[in-house]
Amino acid sequence: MLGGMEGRRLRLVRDLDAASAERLLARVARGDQTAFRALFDALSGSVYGMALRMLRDSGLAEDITQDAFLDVWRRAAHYDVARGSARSWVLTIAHRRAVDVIRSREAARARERRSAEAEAVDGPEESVVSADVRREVQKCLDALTPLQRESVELAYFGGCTYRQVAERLDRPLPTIKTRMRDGLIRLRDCLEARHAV
Amino acid sequence: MRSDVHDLAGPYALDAVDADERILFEDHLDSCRVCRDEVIGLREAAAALATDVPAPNGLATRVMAQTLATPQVSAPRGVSRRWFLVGAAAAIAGVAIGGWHLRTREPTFSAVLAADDAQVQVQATESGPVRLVSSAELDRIAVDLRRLRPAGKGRTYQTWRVTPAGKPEPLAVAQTVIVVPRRPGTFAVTVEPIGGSPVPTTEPFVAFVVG
Repeated sequence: MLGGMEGRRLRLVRDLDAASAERLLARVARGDQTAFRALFDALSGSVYGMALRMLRDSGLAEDITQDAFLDVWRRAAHYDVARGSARSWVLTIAHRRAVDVIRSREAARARERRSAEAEAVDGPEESVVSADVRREVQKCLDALTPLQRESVELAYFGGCTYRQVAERLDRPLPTIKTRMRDGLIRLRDCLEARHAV
Repeated sequence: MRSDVHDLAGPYALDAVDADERILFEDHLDSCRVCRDEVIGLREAAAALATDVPAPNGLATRVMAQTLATPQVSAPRGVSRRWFLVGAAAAIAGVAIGGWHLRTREPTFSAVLAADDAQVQVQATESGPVRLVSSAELDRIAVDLRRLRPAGKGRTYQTWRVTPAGKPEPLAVAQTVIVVPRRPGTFAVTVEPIGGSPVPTTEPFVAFVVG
């Protein structure tokens, strides 16, 4: 499964031509504001949607989106296409910010002696998030086992560490680590198959 | 323990690791091509999970306006064989986000020390020396606990940032190196039970003030 990753990169950008996101980022690195605006227009929906689903607060989601894109602006020269797509780079920046906000919030609550469990992960509130989950992503998520899917979603959207996921799902640590990996591999393979030429 | 480190690829790609594990795994990535390739692919899959919701009106304009006041960091000097990883988040419970800047790789203590504007403080304690280095350019503070005597049975070292308002925020439970965003405050280390504590249970045995 791992063999052949070299030279084979999963491209999951929908409306944005994959090659152009990387080109835009290269231009941003040279201070090109027009390119930066184009990149923002292309990816801000994904960033904002992800942050909104994770934090369920539009103000926080906006802040995260803004901060993440300013990071992108600042550090564009450090992006290297050999290490992944531009979309993945931008989303990772944003995702980590969102995760940190979630964990800060949890820590603050724990200090206030309220049960963190209740807030850990309730999943997206559909009334808040009118998200356009891509059909192929949804279909591919359906292909995961329940434990794979729950582990991945608790981590990605809930900001949980694998230890927290293991505790919440009452499973051993190695099991959860493996499910996260296998879940992502299955998701990746499924998405690649659907985009296969 | 080394043999388990590959297992962190999945959690790492989901940002589902704590600060120590992230440092451990990123050090591992420097020397493991298989894991590097795997992480790239897993991250792409994770990125697919992001659902699309159009950003609110006006956000684009605000962000564009802010870029005018935001200097860009120049490209890394020279060709490095080290694995430059995407992004960097505190991923440390209790650390507020503000002022996060993207790093391509979480710097080591030595890297922060090597910054042009690095400021080092060293304190000798009964348990050994502790160093703190701060760099505004890299936007990092690094605390080096490696030369401390082991904390004792059932005990560990925990590092805190005490805010200017006097509130201790836990940074990390570790006896190695802690690298965090550069923020003002007092950086203190206490001895805690294994696993750490939400608030300090002992008096700090060392503290550094960062303006």
